[in-house]
Amino acid sequence: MEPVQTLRESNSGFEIVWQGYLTVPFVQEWRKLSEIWTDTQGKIIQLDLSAIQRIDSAGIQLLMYLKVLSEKKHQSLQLKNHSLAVLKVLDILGLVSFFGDRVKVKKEHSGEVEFRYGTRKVG
Amino acid sequence: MDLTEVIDAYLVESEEFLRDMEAILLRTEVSSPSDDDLNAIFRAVHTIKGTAGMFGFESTVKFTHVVENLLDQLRSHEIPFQSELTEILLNAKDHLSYLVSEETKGKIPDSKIANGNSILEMMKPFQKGDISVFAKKDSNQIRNEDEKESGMTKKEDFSKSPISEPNSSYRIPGYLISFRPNRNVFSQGLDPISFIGYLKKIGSIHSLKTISEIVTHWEEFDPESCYLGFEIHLVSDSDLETVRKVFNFIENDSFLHVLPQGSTIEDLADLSGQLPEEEILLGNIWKEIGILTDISLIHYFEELKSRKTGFSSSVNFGTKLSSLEVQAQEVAETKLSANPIKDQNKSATIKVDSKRIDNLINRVGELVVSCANMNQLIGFTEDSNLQESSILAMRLLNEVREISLKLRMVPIGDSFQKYTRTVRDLGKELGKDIKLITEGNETELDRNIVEKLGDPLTHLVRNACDHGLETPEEREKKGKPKQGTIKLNAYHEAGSVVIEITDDGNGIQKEKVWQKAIDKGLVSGSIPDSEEEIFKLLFHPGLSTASQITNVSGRGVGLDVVLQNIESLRGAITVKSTPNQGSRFILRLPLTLAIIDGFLVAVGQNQFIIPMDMVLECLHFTDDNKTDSNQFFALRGNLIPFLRLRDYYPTDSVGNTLRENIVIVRNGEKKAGIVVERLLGEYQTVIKPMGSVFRHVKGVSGSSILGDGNVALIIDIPSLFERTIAIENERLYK
Repeated sequence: MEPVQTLRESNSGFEIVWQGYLTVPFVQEWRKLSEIWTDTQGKIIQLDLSAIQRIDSAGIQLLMYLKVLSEKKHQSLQLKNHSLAVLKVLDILGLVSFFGDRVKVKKEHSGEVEFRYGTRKVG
Repeated sequence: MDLTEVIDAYLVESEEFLRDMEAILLRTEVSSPSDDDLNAIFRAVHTIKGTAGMFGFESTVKFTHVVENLLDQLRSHEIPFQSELTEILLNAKDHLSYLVSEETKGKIPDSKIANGNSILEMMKPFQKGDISVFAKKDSNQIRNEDEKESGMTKKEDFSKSPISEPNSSYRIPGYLISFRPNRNVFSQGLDPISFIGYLKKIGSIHSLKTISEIVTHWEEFDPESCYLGFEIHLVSDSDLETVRKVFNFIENDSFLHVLPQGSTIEDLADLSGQLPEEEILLGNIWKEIGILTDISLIHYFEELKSRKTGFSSSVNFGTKLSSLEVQAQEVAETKLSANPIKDQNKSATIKVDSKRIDNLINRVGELVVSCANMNQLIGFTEDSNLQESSILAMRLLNEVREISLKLRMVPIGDSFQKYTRTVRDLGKELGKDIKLITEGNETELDRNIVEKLGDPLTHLVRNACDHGLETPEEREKKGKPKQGTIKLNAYHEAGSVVIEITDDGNGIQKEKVWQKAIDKGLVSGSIPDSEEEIFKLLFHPGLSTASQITNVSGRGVGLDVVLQNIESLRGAITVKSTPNQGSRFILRLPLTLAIIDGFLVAVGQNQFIIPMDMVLECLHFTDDNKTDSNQFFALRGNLIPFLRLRDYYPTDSVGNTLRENIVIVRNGEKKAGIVVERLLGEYQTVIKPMGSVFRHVKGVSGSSILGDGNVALIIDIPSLFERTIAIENERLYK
């Protein structure tokens, strides 16, 4: 499914909704779409992932890249409303603490993700 | 392996950790601890436990284990931080300090163990679950539980002391899969996640850590290339072949290494050599995913160390181990921890025996002296090339000297920090509300001096708390704020370091001091105008103005000991005080004990060195400048007292008295002149301490061997001033 980005600018930064497949065939396009907000400095970016139906290693890697980039540019990238597809990948790869966002699991999905590891920072 | 050295390193490091812990805990009295604070305290206790366990220090391990559990609950926000915990944790820190230092010497007496248990009891109400039960177990059990926590199966038995246990006896508890997909894996239509997901069909993923090179390659990031890597801890009954088969399709060009359950530390060390990440980081990741435990991680570091020949000939083992562990944790703690590229640019810290540095500084000092001599000789030649080279060599040498001196410099702030606790505890003991302010924490001073300053500073701080500050009631009556303030301040001034201890209390009552001195038979007559003269009496042995002896001070150890300590460091103390406004003790210390910039002068055949930072200017000394009384020198309208070096250090030969010179020196805020016969110029010199026979000779702080082999005495200006004043006083009062 083709990437669709809905972008709303607010005082503090951007609220973005991504819709479609966050997978290898589309990652280049997602990357291009994100340029519009990754080029800004010192803003808060809220990326809504509720409409991501599929995500693969390339997709999660792109999100990791955007997270790194936002730190380099002194932005704050917050992922929110993770879809089940995203949650499953975060869970299996133990990346919850990498992104550090609050993760909400809907009741009907509670059996599908465990978050047994990768949720705590090492200390 | 020399165990003493290792234990020394453990002591030093634990002391540092405990000091930091104390500083953080004291901060929590003012504001709630941050996550970083809680993590830091946890890490301190955790690291001490790990190293203590390695040496088999049972009491320390037992105690730290319980404290660590509480801290772990705090840092994971399972329980909230409550202000009462500050006091309990401070007590725990004190007990831990005791355990660390005493257990290296032998068994801890039962009474002290009971003391520790009572601290643990106090923690109980704050914890979730009854974890104090650990206190009753022996450390072997605790170790076993640690292993289990980290995913060990019950089959493994680690009941032996880890120090006697060879590394090879540790077996990893499950499969360790190290998987680094090929960069082009996405373009081949393969998704690493699906392979990892498939692992679930043949077993259970105990834990997995994703490592990403994006962190370092973000500038050249191509979303269609794969920068991910995975360290997987798989628990499975399947055989090695089955596990490997999962990755059959993706294995080409990728890096895949599967270590079966039961592999050893050596296998892990072999593997770490093949992976792109730092071995230390890998160790930490493996600990995080439950492949290694706290103790086996130390074994792993030990194994790495033994593989690297010459790895730490100057860095001793214990230090390396725990700092490696901490370093690894710190690396992993940063959010983007999984950085597989070896960070070449990261600066590292090594610990070096201070004797080696002393040795280096001494040698550099000798080199400076002989180079100065060479320079002097070259100065007489006409060869300009030679002169140029010599100037260049001297410049480089000076840089080397600066650098080597800096090796031993430490900020005084660390040393100031411990007084926060002293002041806090004394305040409670004395029923006073005291605030400590420290300034100039970054001021650097020779480590040797900082160490020797500990006692005098403690004494002065205790004095300020006890004698200096009033009780809250008294302060209120005087219209002062209830809370008294003590200020520690350090700064550089003209080649010296000045440390001030100021309080806003009573101030010193001059009359009382004078009276006390009269009673003791030290002085006679009416009270002099000079405040300085009176305050000097405070440093006389046995003269205490304390009206009552408390637990805190007034126990016979007086300011005379402080003065002795400071003088042994070539320093000086002055006191300033205003009644009801407070007192200030000002310590002036040299930056370093090893080398000084001196000014070489001569009287007859004898040469002397005046510390350069005290020299203000040099002038011809002519009769026109002398006042009638022949005691003062007129300098631009100011009268400056002077003395003739020849009078103090008589020399047989007749000097060039026709043309004398005067060196204007300053000591603190005072100026004086020293009349000499010849000025020989600036001279860098290594201070050789005086032999024990001459140690108490006043007016001389050391000696130096000059380039031509002659000995020059280094003049101790403060004590020369003092001696002159004493002689003058004697003359006047007679």
